[in-house]
Amino acid sequence: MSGDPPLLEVAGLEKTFTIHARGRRVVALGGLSFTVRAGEIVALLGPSGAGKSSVLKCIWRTYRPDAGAIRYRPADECILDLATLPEPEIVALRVRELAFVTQFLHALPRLSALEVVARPLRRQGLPRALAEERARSALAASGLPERLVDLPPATFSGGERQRVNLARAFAAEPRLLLLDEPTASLDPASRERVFAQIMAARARGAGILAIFHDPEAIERLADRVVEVRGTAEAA
Amino acid sequence: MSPLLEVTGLTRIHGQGCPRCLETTGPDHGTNRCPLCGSVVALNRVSLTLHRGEVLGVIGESGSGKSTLVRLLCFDEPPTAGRAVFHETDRVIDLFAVDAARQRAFRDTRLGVVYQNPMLGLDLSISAGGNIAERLIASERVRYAFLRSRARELLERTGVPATRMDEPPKRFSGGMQQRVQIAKALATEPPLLLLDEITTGLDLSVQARILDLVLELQEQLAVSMLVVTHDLGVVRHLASRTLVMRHGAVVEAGLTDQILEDPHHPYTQELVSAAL
Repeated sequence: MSGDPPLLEVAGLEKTFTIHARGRRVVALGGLSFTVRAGEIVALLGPSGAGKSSVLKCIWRTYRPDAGAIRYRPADECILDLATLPEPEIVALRVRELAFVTQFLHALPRLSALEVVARPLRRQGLPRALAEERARSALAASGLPERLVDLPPATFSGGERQRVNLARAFAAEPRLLLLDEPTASLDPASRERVFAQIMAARARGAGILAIFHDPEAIERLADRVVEVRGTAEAA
Repeated sequence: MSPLLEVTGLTRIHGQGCPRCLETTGPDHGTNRCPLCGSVVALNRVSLTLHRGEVLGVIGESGSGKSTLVRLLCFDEPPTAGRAVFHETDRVIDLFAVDAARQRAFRDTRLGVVYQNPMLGLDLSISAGGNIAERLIASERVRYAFLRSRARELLERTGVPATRMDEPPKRFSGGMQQRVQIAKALATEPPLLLLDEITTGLDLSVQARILDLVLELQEQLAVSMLVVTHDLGVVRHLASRTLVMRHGAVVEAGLTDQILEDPHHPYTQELVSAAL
C-alpha cells in the first residue's frame, strides 16, 4: 500500500485572513504539509486556535488557501489540486467523493432527518427508493431513534442532530472524509457507534482526516497524528 | 459541467452616458452615479457563467444592480453594452443580438421568471389555471384538454390544491401566489429559471416551504437557476455558488459557503458580519 500515491497530499498550506474593518491580518496556517492514504485515519492535533478546523475548511474549500497545494487523487486517478480547482468542479466532488462533518448541521428547517440524508444520495444518482433505504440504515447505524427519522432535525437535541450529520456523511460513502469533532456532543453508547462507522469507512478504503477532542478516540482510531501549530511546520 | 448561460461585460446606463461613466462608478468609488455626466450606471460590466443544473446566487443590497440584471436577462429593458450567450444542445443564441420576436420566443419557452411581487408575474384576476394556460398558449401549445391537465399537474407539483385551480390568485395567500408563479414559470419546462427575491415579504415558515419547493424542483427537473436575493439564508440553502454585487458591479464570487465564511472583499465582510 505504501507504494501507492496518497489519496491526499497537502504541501505548504497557508491561510491568512484579512479583516478589513479592523485593518488586521490573522495567520491561521503558515505552511502545513502532510498526507492521508486511502484506508487510513489521520488525526490533527494541536491546542485550540492552532488552525485544525482551518485545515479541514481549506480542503473542503470553504476557505480559499493563500498558498500551497492540496493534491487529491479522485476515483479516476487524475490528480487534482483542490487549492485551485474551479468551483463547479469542487461542487461536483463534494457530491461524489468528499464529505465534511462539522459540529453543526446545516439543513433546511422543514426537511425530515430522512430527507436530509437521502437528498445528497439522490444527487449522486441513486433512485429515490434506494436512497431512502440507504438513508434509513445510515440513520439507524448512527443510533437515531426510529421515531425521529421522519421529523425535522430542528427539533432534535444536539446529540441527535449530530447523528443525522454523521449519517449523511457515512451514507454517501465518500472516498475522503473530513471530521471536525464528530463525537463531541454524543453519549458513550452513540460514540461507540460512531467509532464503528469510522472504522467501517476505513475498512472500505476511505481516507479519513479528523479532529478529535477526545484522547480515547485518537488512541483507538488514529493510524497517525499530524500536529498543527498555527504558523509552524507539522511534525 | 457545461455552461448554459454566459454573460460578459453586461452594462446598463440610465441617462445619456459619457466615456468615463464606467471607470468613475462602482464599488471602488462608492457610487453608481457618474460624477461627470450624472448618469446612473445600474450595471457595470457584469460577467457570470451559469452551468447546466446549477443554482447560482446573486446577493446585494437594494441598488446593487441585481434586479437590473434580471430585467435585462428577461428583455424587460435593453443593455447598454455586453453579451449574453445561451447554449442549446445544438446551437448558441446570442440573446441581445437576435431580434425582438426571437427574444419573445426565447422568453416564452426557454426562460421562467418568478418575481418578488406576484403582480408582475401573474394576472391576479384570472384563474390560477388560466395564468398557466396563458404561458402555454404563448408557446403555442393550445389544445384545451392539454392546457387543463398540464395546469393541474403543475399546480399539484408546486403544492397548490387542484381544487383551487379555477380561482383567481388574488384570493390566495402570498406563499400560495408564489407557488402559482413558480408553476407558471415551469409550464414550458424552461432550462433556465430566474428567481428575483421570491421569498421576500413571506412569513419565515412559508419562506422555508418555498425554498424547499425550489430545491425539490431543481432536483427533479435539473433546471438551472439564477437566484437573486438580499437574504444570505436563501443563498445558503439554495445556491452552490454566489456572486456579491454592489454599486452595479460584482465585487466577489465564490462557493456559497466560502462567501459566507471566508469573504475577501470589505463589502462582503460587512454584509456577512451584519447578518450574524
